[in-house]
Amino acid sequence: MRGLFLYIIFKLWWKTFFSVIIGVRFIGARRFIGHEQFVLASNHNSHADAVTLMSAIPPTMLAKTFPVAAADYFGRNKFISFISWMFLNLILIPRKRASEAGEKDPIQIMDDALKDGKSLILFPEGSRGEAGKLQTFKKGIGILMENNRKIPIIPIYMEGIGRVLPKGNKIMLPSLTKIYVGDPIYIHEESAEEITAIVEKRVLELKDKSASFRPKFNS
Amino acid sequence: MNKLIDGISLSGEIQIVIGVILGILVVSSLLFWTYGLFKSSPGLTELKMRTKSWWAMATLFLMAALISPIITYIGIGFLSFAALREFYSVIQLRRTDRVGMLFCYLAIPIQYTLAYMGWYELFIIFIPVFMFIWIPFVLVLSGETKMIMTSMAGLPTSIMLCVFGLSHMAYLISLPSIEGFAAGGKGLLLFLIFITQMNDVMQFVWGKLLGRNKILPKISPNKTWEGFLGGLLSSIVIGYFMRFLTPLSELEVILVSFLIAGVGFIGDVIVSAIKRDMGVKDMGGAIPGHGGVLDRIDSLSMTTPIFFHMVYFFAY
Repeated sequence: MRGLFLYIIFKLWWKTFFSVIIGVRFIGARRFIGHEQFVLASNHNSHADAVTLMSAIPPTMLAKTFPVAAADYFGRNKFISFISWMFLNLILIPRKRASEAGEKDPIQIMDDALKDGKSLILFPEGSRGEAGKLQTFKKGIGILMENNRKIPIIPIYMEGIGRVLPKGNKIMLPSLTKIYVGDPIYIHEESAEEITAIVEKRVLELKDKSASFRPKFNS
Repeated sequence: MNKLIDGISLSGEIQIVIGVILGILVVSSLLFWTYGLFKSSPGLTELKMRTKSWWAMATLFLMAALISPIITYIGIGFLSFAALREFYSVIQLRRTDRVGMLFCYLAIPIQYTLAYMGWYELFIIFIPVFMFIWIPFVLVLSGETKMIMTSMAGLPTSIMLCVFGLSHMAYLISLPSIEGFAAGGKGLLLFLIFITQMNDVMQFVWGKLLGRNKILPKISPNKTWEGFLGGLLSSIVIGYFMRFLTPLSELEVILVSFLIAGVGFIGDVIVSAIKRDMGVKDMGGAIPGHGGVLDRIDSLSMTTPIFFHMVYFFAY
């Protein structure tokens, strides 16, 4: 049931909306196919990011894929956290790591989800940044993936989505957006810091690739 | 003229032209495809892209004619929308211009509804009078005056280029019928698109064959005097033989075709100049088959209003 509901929301509605009205094009979306479980690591420019990425997830994976978001914003009251779960399938985590026993630890929440067989959409920059600039990745993704070495990380770079719904702006406008999906990263022996560095490097490579594909015209 | 196929709402003239267009498309697609098997070049990719957009236009036109004219209005309206979206994705605007941009997008459904209703007086002034007052005012309301001059010029230009000109294509279909002229608005639309696109193709072909002297080397390095004049003459000849699609006399058709060819060139170089300013000129890594909408409609956005008002003047 949940799968069907998410299919209608993301595949029938959001996917059509983003491709026809907003002008979103995925490059390499077939790299999502054929995994049992994955972690997506993407740059973060707008509130539309998670929805756009969810709309490209293969239908069978939809109900098992959860974008990770900050609890202080998307869970600031019961109603909003219900909406976040119902329509966005979000997992909410606190921004800070637990300092004492009894508090919820963000890494622990994500780790439990992965052990449960869930897939995650992560924004390792932490918060939404300026369009076209990549902030330094937080080390959480490395610490998380260090204990989940079997799960592939798929790097993603979204180009232009910062113009659809920029930070601090309420008007959503169409703007041609390209989303580059990179080859999955498989982790072997690397440490947490190395994993973070590798993911950041791979997202940056996609960014450079996007720069060579700026909107082109003839004549 | 007699109808080739009875029972569809297209006059004999239009059926013949559509037959010819489909014939040209099939032949050229096959030709480029076979040629591409042996040798591929950027010029061929360009030709293939043109053929592709021709197929899209022909399909749209046929669907509109056979199913419902409303599809034509929606189709051309969406073309305006796609062009405007592309324009805004390329030009640099300020964060505070987003409200103005929103209103520019909203002008599209209004303008096309006016075209559908056939409300000429409002259709013709809605953008150049009302929107041109409203958009700068909205920009002023945002309270940010730094660089406001650029936005005050850019936003109205964007709707003039992408919405106002193209919407005349839709209005052609809303024109009242003239006695003794069977092809009607559909015929006029077909004539306009055919001559504009043929002019583009012929300019390209003549330029490749004889091109020596560059006409505007700083704006469009590929355009030559030979291509321009060849396109102009070809368009007049083609227009003369296609005049059964219009209610115009022989002399009027020659004048109109001449203007379409000349203004088509103007539209082309205006958009080229904007692209150059925005730094999207390099074609190095252009992905085949993904040329922008603006590339396709640059000449149409200028030829359409000119053609419309010439016909309106001569025949109505």
